[in-house]
Amino acid sequence: MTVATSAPVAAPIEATELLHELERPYLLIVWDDPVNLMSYVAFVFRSYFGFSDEHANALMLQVHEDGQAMVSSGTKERIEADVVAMHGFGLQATLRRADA
Amino acid sequence: MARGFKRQGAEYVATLDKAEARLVANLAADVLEMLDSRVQEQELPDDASVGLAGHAGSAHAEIDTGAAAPADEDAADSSAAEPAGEDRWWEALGLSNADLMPGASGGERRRARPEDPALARLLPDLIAASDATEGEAERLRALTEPVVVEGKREALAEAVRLLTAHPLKVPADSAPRFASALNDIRLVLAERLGIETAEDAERIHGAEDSEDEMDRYLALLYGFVSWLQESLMTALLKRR
Repeated sequence: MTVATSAPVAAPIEATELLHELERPYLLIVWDDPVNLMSYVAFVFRSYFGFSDEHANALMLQVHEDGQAMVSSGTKERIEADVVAMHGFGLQATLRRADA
Repeated sequence: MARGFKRQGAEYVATLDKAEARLVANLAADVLEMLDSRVQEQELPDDASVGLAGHAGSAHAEIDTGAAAPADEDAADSSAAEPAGEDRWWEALGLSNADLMPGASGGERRRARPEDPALARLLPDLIAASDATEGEAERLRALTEPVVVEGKREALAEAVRLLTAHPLKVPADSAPRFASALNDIRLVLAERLGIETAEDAERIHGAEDSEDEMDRYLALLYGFVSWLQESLMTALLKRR
């Protein structure tokens, strides 16, 4: 049995927090809007995110039927860029912290 | 009678009456002008940049409102977001991660949501009020709104140009931008018509016989631009 060379008590917590930061702490939420055409919303999902027709249509229907859908997740910078892109297309989108 | 978009070679072609094309071009120019007024309002000194939305009218005075096709080259910052490569067309809208790096445009600056509800619909908050910490929406807006505004202005200015040709020919590369310009026009019309819910949208379908003449007119415009955008989406889908 060997003794650990260095094992600070706080390490596991720090490591978990770091991991959380590195994972996908932010979500992109797209909201239903009575103005945007369903074909257009699906088109945006397909062409911007590179989703398949099926996935883009399923997400579009989820937005339409549930009022919102989580469309992507990632780092703060990534999701900010996604929100900006969605606003560029005229979709109603916001970012949300995953643990919120 | 107007005919919707069909793919012809490297273009999407629609045949609109000249009066119809002019109406849509004027709408695009109107939305462009709203965004121009937002830019001018934000170019005021820093200490005046928050909460001045009500003064948009004065910042507005220099724009020639009679022009059907306003020049988009005169804005001081029009060179700030040169279109990138055409292979990733959303980058041509000025949308990329690099633009969003902290410090790229102002650290802790804040920018207030537009007071005009139609402008606020074009430029929504990046974070819902229920998810945001104090001042977070305003800080995010200060960082990102110029990018969104610039992309929309470019798309609308291009739409105004394209709509002067008869028939209307939209290059395949420009089709997504043209669709987004039509969408922005519809968002503004919807706000003016008070479309907040799916029921409202249904009601507008029947508003052609509304008693209010302006509502009737806006409803007709809304229906026409919706039809034009849907026909472009159908043509884009067929292609694949």
